[in-house]
Amino acid sequence: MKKKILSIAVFVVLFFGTFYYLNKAFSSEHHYVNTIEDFKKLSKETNIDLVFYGSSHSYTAYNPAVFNKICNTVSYNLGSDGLRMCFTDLILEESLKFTKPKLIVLEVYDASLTLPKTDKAKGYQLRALDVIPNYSIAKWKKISEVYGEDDYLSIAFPLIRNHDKWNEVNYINVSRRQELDSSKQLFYNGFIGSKKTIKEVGKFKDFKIQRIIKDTTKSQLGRVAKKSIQEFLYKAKANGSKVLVISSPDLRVPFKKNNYFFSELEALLEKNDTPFLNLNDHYQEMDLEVKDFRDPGHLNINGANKASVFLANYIKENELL
Amino acid sequence: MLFNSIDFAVFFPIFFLLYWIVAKNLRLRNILILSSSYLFYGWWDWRFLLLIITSSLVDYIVGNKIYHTKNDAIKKRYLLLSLLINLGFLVYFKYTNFFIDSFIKAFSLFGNEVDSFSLNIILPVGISFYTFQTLSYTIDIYKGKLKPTKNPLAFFSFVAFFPQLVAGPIERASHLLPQFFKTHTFKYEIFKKGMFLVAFGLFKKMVIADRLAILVNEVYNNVEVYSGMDLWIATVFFAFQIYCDFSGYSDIAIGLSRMMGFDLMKNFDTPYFSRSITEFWRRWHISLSTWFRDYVYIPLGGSKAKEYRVYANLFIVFVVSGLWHGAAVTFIIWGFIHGVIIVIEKALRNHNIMVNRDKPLLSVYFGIQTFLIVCIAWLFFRANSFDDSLYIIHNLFSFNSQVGIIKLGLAEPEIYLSFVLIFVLLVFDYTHRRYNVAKIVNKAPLVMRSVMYVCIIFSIVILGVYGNDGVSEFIYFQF
Repeated sequence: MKKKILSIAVFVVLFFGTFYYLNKAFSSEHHYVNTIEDFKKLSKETNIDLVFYGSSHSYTAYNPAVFNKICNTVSYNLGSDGLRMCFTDLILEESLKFTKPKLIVLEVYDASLTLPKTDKAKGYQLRALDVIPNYSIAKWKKISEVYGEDDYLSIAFPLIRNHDKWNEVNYINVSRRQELDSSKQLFYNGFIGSKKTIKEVGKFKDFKIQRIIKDTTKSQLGRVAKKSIQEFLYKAKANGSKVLVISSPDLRVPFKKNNYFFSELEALLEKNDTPFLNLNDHYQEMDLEVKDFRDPGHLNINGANKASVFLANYIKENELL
Repeated sequence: MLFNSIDFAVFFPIFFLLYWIVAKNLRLRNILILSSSYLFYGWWDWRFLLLIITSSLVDYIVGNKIYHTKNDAIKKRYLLLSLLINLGFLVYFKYTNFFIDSFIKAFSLFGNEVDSFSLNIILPVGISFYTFQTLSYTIDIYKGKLKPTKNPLAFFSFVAFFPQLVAGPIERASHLLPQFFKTHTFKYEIFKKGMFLVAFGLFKKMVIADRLAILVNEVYNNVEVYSGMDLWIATVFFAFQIYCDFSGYSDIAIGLSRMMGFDLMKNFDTPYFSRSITEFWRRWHISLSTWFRDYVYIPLGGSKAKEYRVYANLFIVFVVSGLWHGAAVTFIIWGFIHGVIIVIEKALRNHNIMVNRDKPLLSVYFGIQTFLIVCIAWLFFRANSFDDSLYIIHNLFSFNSQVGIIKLGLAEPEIYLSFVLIFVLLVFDYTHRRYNVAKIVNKAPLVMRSVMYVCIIFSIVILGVYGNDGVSEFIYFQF
């Protein structure tokens, strides 16, 4: 009997040890690994008072270095590629285990409030979902709303997800931090400032004066979007944090035929006693130019500096911190 | 439910746990086996259950009637009834469209054009396998070799026993049925052996067969694009694909049964090391070839008939075997090739002009020769149509391919891995001919054994090909 127990124990230890190692080895290499690792490291050293949540619109636009200087605080940007609102509260919950921010800034735009439908969009969510432990019930509840049962194993374990890339895996160095090229981008506390400039300058040259708002009756804020925002606000406020919701500068916004979204969002947030700041209404104050964008949806490092200075002053003036 | 699916990964541990909880209570245990087997089978389509229940019911009643009837003529009538119902199902579901199509083609040869049509018939999974299994029960009772069971629960469980229900091994009632009347006790040593077989079977299926299938499917589904070496590679790969696919299934079936305390017959015994086609059929799909021997070849007269009659009997068996595999001309040609070679080998042996194939160098030569014949026959087996198989035969020796090995559907590292896996498989089989590898593994030191199990499991996870829908079906399910 002792022999059997020993043999099962040896097998179990070997099995789980190997599984743990391979799961690490098969994890994808991307900058959100750096973001999360550095966040945890910083939160051990000090409390982070200001944290940004959202998508790439967040991590490309708000440089914590600017906020630290103007607001005399410690800030961090936890934006993740293509992250949808429905999963953002999971990142919030996870981050609150490490720090207790005074102000939480949530960045949203119309597409971020929808559920991911395409494989690519669903794939982007995994960067953030990998951060959340598999034992989290909330995680699986959300996953069940978006993904099919066939995807569950792939979501839970990078080893299953990326098993067919067996010949590309670095089996010796299992760190999946991305080597960021400082000649092309600046990385600081989750912020990634791009040094690129948008190519379609001519197409958007009138972005400051273009305002076509036609159909104001068609709602763009569905039930899922409202629920996701309210869940986020509830969790943030339950932590004792103030919340500011913002929308980042986006060159496509002035040209959209239906911008009722912002009015709807503002109304929803007002009901929830949460301030909303749409940076698309402040191009002049920010002195934003087309060349301040990396692409139509994202600011580059210059644009990020202008947006960060503007937002930091707004926070300071409104005593949100 | 497929052995390589998540559904089964959830199903089996639950079943296994319940099985050993009720193992001492024979009735409860058999109820569990039967209900789980029906769940397993009904997972594909619950309507299939009606067929298997009807088949079981007919043979249970007919078996008892035959045994208790003194009159030989009535006995024969009961046997015919069983054959008619069981083979009727098989012929209807498997061959109706083939016969309609052949009939139309035959008519068109005489200048009578008939509009082509076919019936929308779904082939129930595993019907060829369980039909043969139940038939053997009735025939054995008719021949007086077996007493019928009075326990319907045990009999229905024997027919539907899920580890071997859909692709064999095709068990004889005399071997498997009595095991449903014995209580099994959990033995760790036997459990370990079962686990090894399951793991190795999954490895063969998911890592080797499904990987080779990518290249084979690409070439065989677009034969006109390929020639020469491409066709050879695809054909050789198919030989290993079908071996790993089918023997993998059998390993899993035998392994699962062992974990439950049941013993199933061996179905494969290193067939690609055979030095003749006769030897090949002693080592390939053993449960089917012995079934044909016992229920077709011997009733036709077997080896005791006159020389030319023996050759005819052998030939008939292999053509029927081809037809059993599939309702298409290509399968019949596959059986025809094997039949012809078997007859030639039999004639050579009868006239004492068969070269002794045991000498080392001759053994290698005849081993390669046998493998090549098997490959040529596989070519017909795998081809999507008779025209495709003719195209492949015509182009096997035209070595002007512009395609190249790395453009056959598999990436370069996958190609290298495929060759490595085939080599590993051959080394394993070669070793297995001399030593019982499972025994060696089970006697290895504890840590080494655990490391080996962990390696197999993670090889399946990492190198396994999961298919487009997460799982890929076993080739023999279609038969």
